[in-house]
Amino acid sequence: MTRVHQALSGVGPYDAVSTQAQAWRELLGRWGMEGEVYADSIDPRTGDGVRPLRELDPDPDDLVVIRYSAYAPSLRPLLALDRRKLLVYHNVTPARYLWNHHPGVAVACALGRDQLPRYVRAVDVVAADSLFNASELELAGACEPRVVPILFEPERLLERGPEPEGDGPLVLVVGRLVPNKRHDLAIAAFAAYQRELAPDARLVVVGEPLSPSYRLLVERLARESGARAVSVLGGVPQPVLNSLYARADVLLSTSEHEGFCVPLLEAFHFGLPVVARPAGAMPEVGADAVLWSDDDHPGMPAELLDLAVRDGELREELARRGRRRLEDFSYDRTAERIRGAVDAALA
Amino acid sequence: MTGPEEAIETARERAAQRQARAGDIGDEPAGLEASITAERPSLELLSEWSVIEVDSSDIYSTRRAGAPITALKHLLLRLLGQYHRQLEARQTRFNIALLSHFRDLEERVARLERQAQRPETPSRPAPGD
Repeated sequence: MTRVHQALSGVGPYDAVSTQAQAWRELLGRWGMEGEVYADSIDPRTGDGVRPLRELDPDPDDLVVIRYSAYAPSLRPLLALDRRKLLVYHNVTPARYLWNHHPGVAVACALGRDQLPRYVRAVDVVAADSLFNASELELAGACEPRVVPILFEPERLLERGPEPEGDGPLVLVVGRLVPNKRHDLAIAAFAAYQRELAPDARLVVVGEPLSPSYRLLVERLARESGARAVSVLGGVPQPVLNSLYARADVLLSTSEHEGFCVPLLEAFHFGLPVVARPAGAMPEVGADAVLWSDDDHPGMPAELLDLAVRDGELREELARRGRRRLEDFSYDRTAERIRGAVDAALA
Repeated sequence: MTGPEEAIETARERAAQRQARAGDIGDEPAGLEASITAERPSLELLSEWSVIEVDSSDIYSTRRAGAPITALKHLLLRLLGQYHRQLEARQTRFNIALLSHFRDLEERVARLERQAQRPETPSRPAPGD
């Protein structure tokens, strides 16, 4: 029996790559391709179900899926392994965002981007979760990489946590607290929105911080912006996030570098309007269902937040378009793509 | 009804009008822009980075009950402070020396490039030729 094992540099409790690995394992298991998820670095908060990478010992007929999102020396021996291999590229953040904030992560990112061509050459099939990421694979030497989007599981969004308290328009920002997400721009846009258009508006920022000191920096930026009612929650369990999506009036993303952006699909699921910056893979995921702000000055996103909150017909239209996007990224469609990539790697 | 495309144009116009009026809707974001480096960091930045100083607030634990572990890590850092200071000093010494050599090389290359770009002056015949 063929098994499909997945190898990651690291797993964390709230990151998209770890969630994808678990979702693929479940799907592959249903196809009779049982397998395990292995990682070099396992965050202690991660639940069971991930094994240390050193324990990976695939049989000759097994497939190894290498999920690539940062440099990890321990993944390199897999390249020499005489087994079928599928590389799934989730993007590596350019190091320039990180040198001044977390040199250790910056080094991993710089080396990760440098080493990508080695991984591309060493595997049987290469895939990326967006066209944006696929174009980076092509630059690394890949010939016609497959695009296999994020496997979106609406069931994960059903369970609810405690109901968020408070009144006034709720603006939600979801994504790791890392420099490339440009939380500074989101805070500036919200501050302008609150100052000029909605004095009772609230901002909730959800996302695992790069480090405790980076979280403090974001909190300081919020204080200095003059905005009130800003909560930086850090990483939260999925049910808590689901309640926030359900209660929020609009999702805001001012990210500058995105390999996919799962929160767009999650917002579409909740019928939540999205105001975002057309960067990285976001336009291909959000398409015409997002209010795109191509101006870095806070004025334009602030006005879009106001329209998204107050204009009922606009909200309905965005929700309708969002549902259409979800059809394009439906579980079954993506599962077909995964099957195609896995079969090609095993052929 | 406002469609998304129309909404984007409306927001753009309103933002421009507001900006044009005296009470601009927002100041320049004093954010992260300055902290995002160029693809190739400048020599000034390299010089700053060459001095190794580890911020102890970056030593922490992500475990659920991580506070005591973080405290233990900080205690260990204090106990091993003398060793780490030696290590940092040695690494800093190497970095600064290397950077100094690198600066010299850059200046030398720049000088040679300037010389190479200078138009050649025709050589005069030596007196008595």
